Amino acid sequence: MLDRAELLGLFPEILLWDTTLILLVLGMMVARTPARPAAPFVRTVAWLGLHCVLLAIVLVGVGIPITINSIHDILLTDSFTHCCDIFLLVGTAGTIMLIVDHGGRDTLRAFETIVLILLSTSGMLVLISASDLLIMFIAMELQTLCFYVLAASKRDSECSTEAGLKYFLLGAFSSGLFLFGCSMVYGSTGVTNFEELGILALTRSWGVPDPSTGIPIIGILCIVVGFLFKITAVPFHMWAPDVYEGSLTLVTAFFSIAPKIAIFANMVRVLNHCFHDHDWQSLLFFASIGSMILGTVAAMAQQKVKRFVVYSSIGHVGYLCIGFAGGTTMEGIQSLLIGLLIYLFMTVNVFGLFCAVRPVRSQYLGDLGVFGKLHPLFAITFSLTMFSYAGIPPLAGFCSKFYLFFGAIRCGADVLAGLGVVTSVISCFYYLRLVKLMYFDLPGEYMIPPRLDRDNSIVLAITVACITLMFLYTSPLFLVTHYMAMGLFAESGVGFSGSVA
Amino acid sequence: MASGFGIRGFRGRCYDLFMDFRECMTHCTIPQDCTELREDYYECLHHAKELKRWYRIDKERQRQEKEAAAKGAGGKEEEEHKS
Repeated sequence: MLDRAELLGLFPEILLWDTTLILLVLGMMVARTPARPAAPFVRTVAWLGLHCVLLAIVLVGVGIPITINSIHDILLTDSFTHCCDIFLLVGTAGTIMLIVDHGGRDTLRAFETIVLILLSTSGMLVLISASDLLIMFIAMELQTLCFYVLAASKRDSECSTEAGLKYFLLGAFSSGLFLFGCSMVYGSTGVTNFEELGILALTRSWGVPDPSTGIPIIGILCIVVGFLFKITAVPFHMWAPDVYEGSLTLVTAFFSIAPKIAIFANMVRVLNHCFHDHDWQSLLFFASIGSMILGTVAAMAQQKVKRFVVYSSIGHVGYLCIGFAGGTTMEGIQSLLIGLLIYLFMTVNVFGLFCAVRPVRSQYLGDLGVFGKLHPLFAITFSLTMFSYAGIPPLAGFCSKFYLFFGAIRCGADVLAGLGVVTSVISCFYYLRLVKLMYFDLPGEYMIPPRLDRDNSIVLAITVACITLMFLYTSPLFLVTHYMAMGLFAESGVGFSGSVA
Repeated sequence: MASGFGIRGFRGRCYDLFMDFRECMTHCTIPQDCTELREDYYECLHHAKELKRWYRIDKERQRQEKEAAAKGAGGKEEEEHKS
């Protein structure tokens, strides 16, 4: 039975599940009524969903972040999961806010989109606090199954169907690989709990490769590869550009924000708690290098807006992987978390802008040219975000990259830091090219500038304020991430040994 | 297996050994103190040492049987074996 503390810890999840069910039933009842048009109703559902997510943020926020193992140790709540939950819910709330005003427009007819977003968010909440291989897999599947449906949600579009199918096949493949890794680990150790795996890995006979007494390297590698698939790191990124391009812009926004947070949080937890022996480190090292290089080189050649964003996000995943590719040090984890939060703000901002221009025409980068002349506020916002992505000093993106490279140097991964700086300099080229496109090039055709709706404007204003003004007062961010990293390392007293780079 | 739930509903086969190991890990100062308990647990899981021992016993017996057979057949083969 759950005791009171465990039940209180699960409140955000319970809230999301209940709201999902209620919205689903409500939606079905209203959708069956022929008198009402569908579109405004999507708006209502989105609005209700948004408030539910905001309420969940409050629920997580007021809860005391103490370490609780709940339901036979399959879920673990501590300060790390606590803050990651808030990051995730903020990301979801931002995405839904972009959707609210789109409810009435052409792209989003089905209210189920919102229901699926809420359902996958609850899956990701469980994923963040998972502390058992099985519950982790189940939560991950709950999340990705919702995503398959979301990717294919625009049924009359060829691209969207293709994206859904591709995502489904490759996602299922990666899940299979992941599950195989889990089964290998279970087969050789007899436990699936993270803490128990941790204590088994901790006493491994160092330097004696005896397959019968350790956690098998192949199992760990399969798990890491499954993770790399999910975060679109480089050797396993093939699905990402097509899927992101084919899906609806709003869905793409959700794809590139929320799962990154949840899966990075889970990945840090797993790799840090279960497998101290760092067999996985070199794999992440190469994934990080590859992601940075490919993200940089491939984004340079893109003409389409969404593909550009995807490659830039692959590059950013590379930068984030630096955080723990060089060894799970405190600085590394902290910089990863800072990077994630800033990436969240920047990506929400970029997608807010793209959602705003979408009704006009937003397929190609060249079409952005018109905004420099006709919509100066939009152009300034966009330029600031691009500068931040590129890592120009006073903006948040610089802070994130600087701290990541700093963490890499601190743990001795000079190669990663050096390469990160080089790719970051190269990436300035194409981020600034967009700014040039907007201000100095003549657009192919003049369009009516987009109408920024209210919710979208609020999101843009908040994120731009965060990006530009963060450097004035960074200590809360550093304190919170430090606190999170402490929570991660302090749990069960095992993690400290993992900090040996 | 280490969870306490056995396949037939009783306590799992290696549960006690895992609990000993876990108990040790919660109290020890360095993890290497509990290596032996950990080995016991892995032995319960995979029977690697037991199987290795059986294999060696079996091999030794085969060798002796072969030797005896060779001795019975004649001295010439025995010489070859020794060299």
